[in-house]
Amino acid sequence: MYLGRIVGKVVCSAKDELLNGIKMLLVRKIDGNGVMYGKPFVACDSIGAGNGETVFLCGGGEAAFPFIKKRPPSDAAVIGIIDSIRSES
Amino acid sequence: MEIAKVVKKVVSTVKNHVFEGYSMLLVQPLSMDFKACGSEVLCIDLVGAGQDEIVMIMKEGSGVNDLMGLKEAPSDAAIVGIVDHIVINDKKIFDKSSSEKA
Repeated sequence: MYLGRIVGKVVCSAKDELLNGIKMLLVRKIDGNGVMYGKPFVACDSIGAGNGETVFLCGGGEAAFPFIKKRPPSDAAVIGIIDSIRSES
Repeated sequence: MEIAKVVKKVVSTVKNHVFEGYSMLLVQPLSMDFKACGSEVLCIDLVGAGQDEIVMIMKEGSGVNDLMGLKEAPSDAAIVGIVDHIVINDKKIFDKSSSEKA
């Protein structure tokens, strides 16, 4: 899994029908200090994350699993909203 | 598997149900001179690793699903070991007890 921040959303009407009903969010990766890096990418939302929220995602084949019963063509899925990232030392 | 260092603890209450009960740690993969190499990875912690510890992580979804006893879980990285020492060409380059590393 990896950390990200929601920076926007993407709407497609013509798409693979397995993606119907799945919200697609625009995300940028963040590092442990909350600094965004890399180019924005599209991730399927399985948790109801809002714009600007810090989230964590899973990539690759596992990104299709949060959507029960159907396995949409997704290689990035938002699977959790983060409350805090802290160093314990 | 990869060698990494635990850098942050991540707390999340609103998350996919498979993560209930697991603590999640952010780790930084390391090269063998103990410098950061590659981007940080968020892992579920299966061994009780602590802050700044050198650990071994597995980044393969199906393997992590097996460890969690699940079939289709959106988890693809886990801490599977805490490193005691690392030897290269008969020379110990890391020893947890004396922690002469990075």
